[in-house]
Amino acid sequence: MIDINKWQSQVRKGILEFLILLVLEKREHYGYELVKIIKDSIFDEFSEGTIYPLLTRLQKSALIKSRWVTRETGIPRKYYEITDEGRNSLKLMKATWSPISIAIQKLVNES
Amino acid sequence: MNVIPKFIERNSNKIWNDYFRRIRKNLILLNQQQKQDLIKELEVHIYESFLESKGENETEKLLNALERMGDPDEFLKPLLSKELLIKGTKSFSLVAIFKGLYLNIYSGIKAVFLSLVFGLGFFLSVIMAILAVAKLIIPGIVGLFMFPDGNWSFGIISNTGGADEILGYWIIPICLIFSVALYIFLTHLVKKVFLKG
Repeated sequence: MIDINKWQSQVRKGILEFLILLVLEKREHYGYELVKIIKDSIFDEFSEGTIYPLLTRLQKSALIKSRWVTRETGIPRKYYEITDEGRNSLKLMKATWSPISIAIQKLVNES
Repeated sequence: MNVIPKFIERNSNKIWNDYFRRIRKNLILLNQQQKQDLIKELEVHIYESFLESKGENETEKLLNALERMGDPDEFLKPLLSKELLIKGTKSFSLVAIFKGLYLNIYSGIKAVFLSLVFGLGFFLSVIMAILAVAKLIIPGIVGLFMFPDGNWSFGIISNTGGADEILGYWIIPICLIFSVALYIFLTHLVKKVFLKG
C-alpha cells in the first residue's frame, strides 16, 4: 500500500514552484502571506519553511526578485515580485500543466 | 533590524533561541549577507505566525507556530546540500562534495542513483591516488600483474606468485593523472547535474 503522506509530499514538492509563480503573477507578496494563500487554496498541510529554499532558488534563477519593506509597526517584510523572465517561464509551465491536468482528470473520472 | 519578539515566559525565549540556533547551524555555509537576510525573514514569518496562533499561553502559541514552520534540519536541507555542492565544486573540496551528495540522497530516486554513481567515481579517484602512494611503500605487490594462465590483476595483489608486473613505476604517474583527471571531470559533472538552474 502506498505511503500516501510521502506521495502527497512528492506532489507538493513538484508543483510548489509553479504555485508560487502563479500567486505572484497577480501581485507581490511576502513569504508568510504566500504560505497562507497556498495553504488556504490548495495544501493545508505542509511545512511552511519549505517555501524559503524555493524562493531562494527562484530568485537565483531570476524568475522573481525581492525587496525589504519596513512598515509603520517597525516589522520588516520581504516582498517577492515576479520578473519578466518569471512570467515567460510561467507561460511555459502553464502550457505544460494544462494538458497534463486535463488528461489526469479524465483518467480519474473514468476510473 | 532583528525581529526577536519580547516574550514574557522564559520558556518561550528558550524555545525561540533553540530553534534559531538550529537554523543558524543549517545556514553555516551561506555568506553573511545571505544568512542574515534569511534569518530575518524566518524571524518575521514565525513571529507573524505566532501572533495568529491559537493557544492557552504564549509558549503553546509559539510551539504551534514552530510546528507549522517545520523542522529546520529538513526544510533547509535543499539549501544546505546545494551550498555544499557549490562550495565543493568551486574549491574542489572532496569533503564538501561528499556531504552535498549525501544530503542529495534525500531528494529522490534519481538523485540517489546519481549520488551513488558520483560517489563511486570519487571513491575510484581516491583509490587510484592511494595506489600511486602504495607503489612507493610496497612496490612488490602493487601494479598490473599478468599471470602465466593469461589472467591479469590490477591493484594491491597479495599473491603474485609467477606473475609479471607490467607497468613498473609508471603506475605512479598513470594512477595520479587518472585520479586527478577523474576528480576534475566528476567535480565539473556534479556542478552540471546537481547545480543547473
